[in-house]
Amino acid sequence: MLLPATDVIYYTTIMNNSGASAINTVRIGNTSSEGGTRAFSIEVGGGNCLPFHHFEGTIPHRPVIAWEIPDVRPDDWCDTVKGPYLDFLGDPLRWARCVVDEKGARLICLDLRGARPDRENRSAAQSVELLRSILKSVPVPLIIRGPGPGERQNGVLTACAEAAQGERCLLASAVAEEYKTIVAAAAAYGHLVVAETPIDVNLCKQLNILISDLHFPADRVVIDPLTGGLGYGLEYTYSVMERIRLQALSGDGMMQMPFINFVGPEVWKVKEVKVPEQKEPQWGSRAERGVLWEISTAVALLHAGADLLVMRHPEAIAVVERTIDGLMKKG
Amino acid sequence: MKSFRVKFLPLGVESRVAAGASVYDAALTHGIQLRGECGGLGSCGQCVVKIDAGACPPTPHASITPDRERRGYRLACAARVEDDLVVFVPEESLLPSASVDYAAVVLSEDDRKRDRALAGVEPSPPLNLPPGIARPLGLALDLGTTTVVAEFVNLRAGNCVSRAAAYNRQLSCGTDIISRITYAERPGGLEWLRGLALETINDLLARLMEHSRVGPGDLIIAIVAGNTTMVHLFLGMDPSGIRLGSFTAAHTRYPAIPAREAGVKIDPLAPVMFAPGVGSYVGGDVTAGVLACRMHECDEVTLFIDAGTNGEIVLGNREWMMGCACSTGPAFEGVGIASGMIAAPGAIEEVHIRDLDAAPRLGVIGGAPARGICGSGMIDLMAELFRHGILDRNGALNAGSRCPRLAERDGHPVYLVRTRGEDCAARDIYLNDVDFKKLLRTKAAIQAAIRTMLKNVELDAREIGRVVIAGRLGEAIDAGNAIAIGMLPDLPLERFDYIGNGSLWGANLMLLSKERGVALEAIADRITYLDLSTHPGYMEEYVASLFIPHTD
Repeated sequence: MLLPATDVIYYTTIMNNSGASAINTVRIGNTSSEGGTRAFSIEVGGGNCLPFHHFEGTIPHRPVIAWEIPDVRPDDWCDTVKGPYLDFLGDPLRWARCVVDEKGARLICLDLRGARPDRENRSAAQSVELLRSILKSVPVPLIIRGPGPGERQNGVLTACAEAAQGERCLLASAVAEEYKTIVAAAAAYGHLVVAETPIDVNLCKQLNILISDLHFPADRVVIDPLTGGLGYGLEYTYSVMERIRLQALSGDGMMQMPFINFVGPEVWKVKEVKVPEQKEPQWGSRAERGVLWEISTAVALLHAGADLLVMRHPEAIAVVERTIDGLMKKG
Repeated sequence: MKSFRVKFLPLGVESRVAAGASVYDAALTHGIQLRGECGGLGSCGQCVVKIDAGACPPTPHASITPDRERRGYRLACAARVEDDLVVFVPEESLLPSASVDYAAVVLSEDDRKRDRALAGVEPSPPLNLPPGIARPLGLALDLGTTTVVAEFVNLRAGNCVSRAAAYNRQLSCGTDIISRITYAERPGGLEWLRGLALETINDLLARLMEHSRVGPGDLIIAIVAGNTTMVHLFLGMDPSGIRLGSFTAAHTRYPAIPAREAGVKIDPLAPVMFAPGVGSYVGGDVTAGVLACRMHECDEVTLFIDAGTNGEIVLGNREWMMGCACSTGPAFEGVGIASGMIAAPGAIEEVHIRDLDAAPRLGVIGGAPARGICGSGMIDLMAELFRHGILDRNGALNAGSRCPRLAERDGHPVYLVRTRGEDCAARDIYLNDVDFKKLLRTKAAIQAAIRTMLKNVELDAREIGRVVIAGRLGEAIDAGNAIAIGMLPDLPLERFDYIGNGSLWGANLMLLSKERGVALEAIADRITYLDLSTHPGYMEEYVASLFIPHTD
């Protein structure tokens, strides 16, 4: 990836001043000793150098992959990524148990897309009921993703925040136009917040300032800089993440939050993972293509500084986990 | 050529219209002025009409719901006449004459600052004064995108005789420069715009002549200071070159022409002269302002800011000068703002809020009752509401805060500056959430331009010795409040100077002194033009400035 000239200059400066500032350490999930019911909690962030630059600083926590679990039957998912989950499509509880028990997931992202008025239009009470049963039978920490901006978002996320009181879940997402209710709910019930802004350094910092103006602690915020899949504007996100990280490491407290990237939802909607072989024979196997697309997107974002990745396909997740193992090795 | 019958309801007027003409233009021929901030580009979605009879294909736009589309709603500027039509014009699509009052307003002649600036200027007009006229007058004209100001100056004594302002009637053809240029590119558009400019000017002149009891023959010279586009339109020259990037076909120098040819109703043989410009977006209004503030004579670095519809900024001293322009919109001149108005009698120019529960203390031009709020009042209001936590850093009204003056009007949250009846106000005076966003964009454009300019010459803001603010914001601009919202650089207050309408002063100086006219030519030659529209850092500075006071 080509670096713009200004980044190269910043980069050299950082090299000489490394160790000055670090990314916040964010802990997701509360165990019983911390007032929750999770079997363990997960920490991300904490590094004081650029991603995987073990030679110039310390990186105490590895990036973590969250498995995406939709609350309703994901009919819009393409066959490649539905394939591994055919047994429990439409049964999010069994789905979550399976990825935790059999695939070794340590973090799941419950996607409450069914609450969207233009989809199943599920009520906040239905979302809460599902959340309660997952909390009861799945012991890992949780990301709760609301139905998206709109009036439904606040109602659903507030109800879920209350139902999961004390569990220290990560609520997604607060946006500049509508952040107060979500932040207030996270503050009241002891959760964390994703601050989402559209691929822009300044807008990202502005939302972080707005959230901290509500006296919400900075170490309970995670940045979603928004991304597209590979070939769909990924390079913009890459350089924006790089710039945010460089500014954070040079001491800007309003940029020192870890990153989350919703990789799965972006990758699995692009044309290249959907078009069948008959139509584009030179593109090769559709199944492999999709998995590779998710892997490439995720790995690029890891290099830009991603701390949390929300992903879909088990094979892609396995490869990216191995990649992280390799990248976390020192020397 | 084929033509069709088009009837407009509810007026009931009817005429034959050439095939392919837009409904918008057809309406104009009857004097039906439809709204259209974009100037008929099909982007603002304000000129919605309903086709009651006749075939007219849909004109997709976000402002027309599928249901309304089925019922015959179309964008007038995009709909072509290809059939006999009956067109219903809803009231909300008409240009509201109440919010934009085109009538000329005579302003106070008392202007100490102006007199100070003109003191020491020995009248030596650029033409020989005819002995036959007892009181030879000159006309100084500030030709703005949003506001036009005219002043009669006694050429022998050097004093101002009377002054008046009015909204530019071209506002109905787009509120910013670019939409005016695109409007001029339509068939007949240029002539139409020129006519509107002349109507505005001649109305002002009639009002002033009546007020000062003089006739057209007493006015023997006119000086026009206007931005490049406005002068092009005034002279009927094609302005399309102005927005075409670096190969600018724009003219920045203009020869003097007789008033008869210009269409200005003063002595037909009186010369009409123009302040010279620098580039496409830095015109004669700016050079005139620089002349008025004497930047070109000072050793200290001066920052000159003309906060008009186009914000123009010049930085420099006697050795070097650099100028740039940014699009700020007409908000500070009161256009497009719920209770906005021009800085004229009845305008709120000062706002102080001590107690959130009580009505804010106001300064009103000419005394109460207030009729609306002008630029300086808007800046005060933003700063005060921000201080009290009613306005967020991103310019949103904090609906949750307990403040009895927060209310709702037309579905928008508003802050009530005055309610109807309070201090004899004839109607509610308020700003809504959309207004505050517009003001935030206006301040961000100016702030970003200043920051980009300083970065470009590698100058720290603290090295600026004097900040001169010009424009039609209102005399009462409070630099402290403008700093609080981030619009102006954070410098000691004594370095700020508000000179009011700089272009009008410059035009005045040109009227009264041949030498100053020559100096103005030199200023125009010396200002280096910095094009922000192609500057790589400007957009980023702008986004960072869309925050109170700034993202840093």
